[in-house]
Amino acid sequence: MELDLTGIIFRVSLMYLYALTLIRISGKQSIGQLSSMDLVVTLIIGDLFDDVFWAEVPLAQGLVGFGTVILTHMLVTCLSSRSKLTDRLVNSPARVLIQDGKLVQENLQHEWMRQETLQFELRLQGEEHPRGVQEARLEPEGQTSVIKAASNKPVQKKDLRLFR
Amino acid sequence: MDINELLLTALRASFVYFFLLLVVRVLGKREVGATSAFDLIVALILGEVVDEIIYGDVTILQGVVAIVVVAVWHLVNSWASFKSQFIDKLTGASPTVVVKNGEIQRKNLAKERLNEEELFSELRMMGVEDPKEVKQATLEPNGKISVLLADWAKPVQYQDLSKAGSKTQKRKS
Repeated sequence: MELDLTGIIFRVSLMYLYALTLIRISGKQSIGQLSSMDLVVTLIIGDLFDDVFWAEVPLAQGLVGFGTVILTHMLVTCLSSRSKLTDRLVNSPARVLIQDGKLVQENLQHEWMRQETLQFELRLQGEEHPRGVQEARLEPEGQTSVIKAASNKPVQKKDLRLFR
Repeated sequence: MDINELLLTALRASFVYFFLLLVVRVLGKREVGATSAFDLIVALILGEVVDEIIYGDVTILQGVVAIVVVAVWHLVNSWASFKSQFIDKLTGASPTVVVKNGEIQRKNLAKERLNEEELFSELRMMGVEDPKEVKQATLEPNGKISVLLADWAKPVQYQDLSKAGSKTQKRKS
């Protein structure tokens, strides 16, 4: 198939602007806080584009396909921030993995998380042993959060009685 | 291109969205993109198969089958890695210690194809200037380097304060 270059320039530019507009409207500020589904949607978007660039599908179809995915994702994230039930359906809840220095085996089991994995997540947060941890959770985005035990925290100003 | 085809495209796109939402939910929050390079690849595969489905180049059924097969294998993999340490080692990376008690482990660095410059750069990113401050630095399975500081190099912790306090003056309780 002969592809004329002006056509490519036109389609790529139009899709670029269309994507930029929709992403701005959807209100995602950055990709710092990506959930698994945000990631998959991002990848889908990238995937839907090239077919339009090469004119394998008509422009209108590309605009509709892309728009539908973004709008559906907007709708679902909007609903899940407003309704507990939707949030529960769409996201898995944060699970406590360590409580007061002890592993919560039941939840590790539930998440299919090996102790070695938890150990390296702790090391990445500068903590060597569950002992020094007040609470560690597997957050909905898939990261492990670690709250250090009180005695293990860096000294805060209040400890020096600079503040009362 | 008639309006019906556009409507079908929208329908297929919404279907694909909710179907992938289900798949991601079933796979769990750690399995798509979060932990290892391979989890990211699975996310890429899931994102990459959908254009043919949405634009109608393959049937919905074919698309669903392909996605389900990928998802099932990934589930089997993560379940087996959870159950057996052997499979975990086989299919995932294991941690490599690159600094131990202030000494750079050159053999391990070489094994991981890291050079000292990269290691120093990682240490600087963690605010560490001198490897002597490090008790253990590890290249973790997710590709990040974790740094545990030597006891003397750690910021003062609350427990140290009470120790120091007991030497000089008793704290009011």
